[in-house]
Amino acid sequence: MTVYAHAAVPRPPAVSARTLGFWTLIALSAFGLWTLRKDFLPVVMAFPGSAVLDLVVLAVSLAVAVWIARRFLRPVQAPPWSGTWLALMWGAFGACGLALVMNGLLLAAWSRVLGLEGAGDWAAALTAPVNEEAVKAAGVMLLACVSTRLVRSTADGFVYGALVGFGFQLMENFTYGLNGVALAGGVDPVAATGQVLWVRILLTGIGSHWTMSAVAGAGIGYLVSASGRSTARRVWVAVGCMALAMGMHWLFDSPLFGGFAGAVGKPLVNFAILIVVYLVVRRGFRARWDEVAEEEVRAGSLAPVEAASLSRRRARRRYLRGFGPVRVAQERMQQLQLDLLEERVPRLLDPAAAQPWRDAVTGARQGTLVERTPLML
Amino acid sequence: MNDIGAAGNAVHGRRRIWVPLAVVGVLLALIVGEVAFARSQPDGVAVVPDTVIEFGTGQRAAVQVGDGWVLDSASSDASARLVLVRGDMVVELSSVTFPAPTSPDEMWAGMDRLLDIERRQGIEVRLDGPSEFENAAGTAGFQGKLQVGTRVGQAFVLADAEGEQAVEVQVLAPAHAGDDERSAAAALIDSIAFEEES
Repeated sequence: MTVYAHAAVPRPPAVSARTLGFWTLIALSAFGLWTLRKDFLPVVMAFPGSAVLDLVVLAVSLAVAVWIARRFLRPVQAPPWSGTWLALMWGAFGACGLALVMNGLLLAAWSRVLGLEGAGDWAAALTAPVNEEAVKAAGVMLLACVSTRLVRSTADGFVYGALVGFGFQLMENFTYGLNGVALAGGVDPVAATGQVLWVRILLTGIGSHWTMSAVAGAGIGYLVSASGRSTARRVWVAVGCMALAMGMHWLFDSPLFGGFAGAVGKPLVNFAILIVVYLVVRRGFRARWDEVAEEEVRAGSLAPVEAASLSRRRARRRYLRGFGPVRVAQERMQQLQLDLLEERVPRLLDPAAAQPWRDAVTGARQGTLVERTPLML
Repeated sequence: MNDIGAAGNAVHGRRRIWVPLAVVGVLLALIVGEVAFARSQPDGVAVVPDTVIEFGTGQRAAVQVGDGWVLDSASSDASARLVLVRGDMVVELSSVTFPAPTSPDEMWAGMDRLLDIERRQGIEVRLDGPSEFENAAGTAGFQGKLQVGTRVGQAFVLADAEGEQAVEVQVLAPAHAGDDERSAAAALIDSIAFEEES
């Protein structure tokens, strides 16, 4: 196949539909959607005003969530759109639908074990951290099975965990908005939905599901990355991150530190934990990025000035500004260079395996045609 | 380049098959464990006669439970709902908190709207009335005849003095339910009261 190097990037799709992981994600999400539809479609039909408000808020929240995740939560560049939508789909349908079924089982059991009052205080804290964190983390693990290029680093696990959590949080807000109608006795249903959404988005949204599953996702990213670290170490880090995510969820749902201060303070604690984990993840990713960038400079694939500008979005934009009319071509080459370095991030991958990406960069630099065979997944 | 064979992450080669299976297996094991745990617990708890159960937001609502009632603890939640069962008779008490002071008429209309959810599920629901009602504890509101599917009975809305909170009650039983059950349910309704806000 003959292609122009500056137009056709050696960029195999990040998601492979020929994997069991992909179809597991689809099948379980379809089951979750069926569960949600069964429980909430009659409510939507009975209270269309609340449903419309819910949908409008969901659409706006989705736009904000996607922007936050893609702009801020992964160092260097955003995750691919295919992975972004898969993660959101799993969180909203697969994880939320499964959690609905599982929570129903466990909440009822806690009511019998702890009694009415004890269950009222503790059932949520003993149920949600186990079930909801498990189903959300399962989504990140399945994303790692969809292809070997979707979750390749701790940073990937972190951002996909956040996206799964955002999907879960948005769907949960939708269902809680509808449940709010019943709690207000069906009186002024739109106001009742609005009140629930107000609290869940503005008061607690900053430290809810997305923070917890980002932390758990970082552990899964660390576990599945081809980093060359020992299996035991990777397993322990993953287990530690999962335990931390469950702890964050437990704190969030527990009756401890109640009242308004608790309702505001607990999400802020979760957000602070997220920031700390993010800084650690980003530091590790950037260290590896700088390492491979230096190697590619030594190999002659990148000029030092190019390598220096690649790792930050603002630096890339600043670098491109100097190119005037040839900026578009330079931007395409910059994308090829980013792809080359992304390809080098997994430590266990043979550096020679990235040769097609080097050739693409060289070809784009020379403005020549490149002969290559179609890339296979 | 064959991506399936490349170690871009640790899930490659045969792991692409067994890791998703393992993930599904873990979720199934969790569900099976939770089902077993739930089934190991009794379905309901027999309530000691004359027990007063406080429920609802701030546990301001209270009901005194007479002889022979079983609390369906799986369906009950101290902050929102109690389900009490006696033979074929099921009494469901829901605590409702309104965003602003609400009149009993609006409360009744709201309850009727909530029954639309069951109507949308294809269940035949009929709510007649309302007529004014005051129970023995002095709590006032509305009552009306209720039919949900094949079960018949009554619905009540009992409001607090400020119109900020109410207990909505559905008393449902098969048409052939005995008088004992009906009078026991009536005694239950008669005991519903609100604590004054401190």
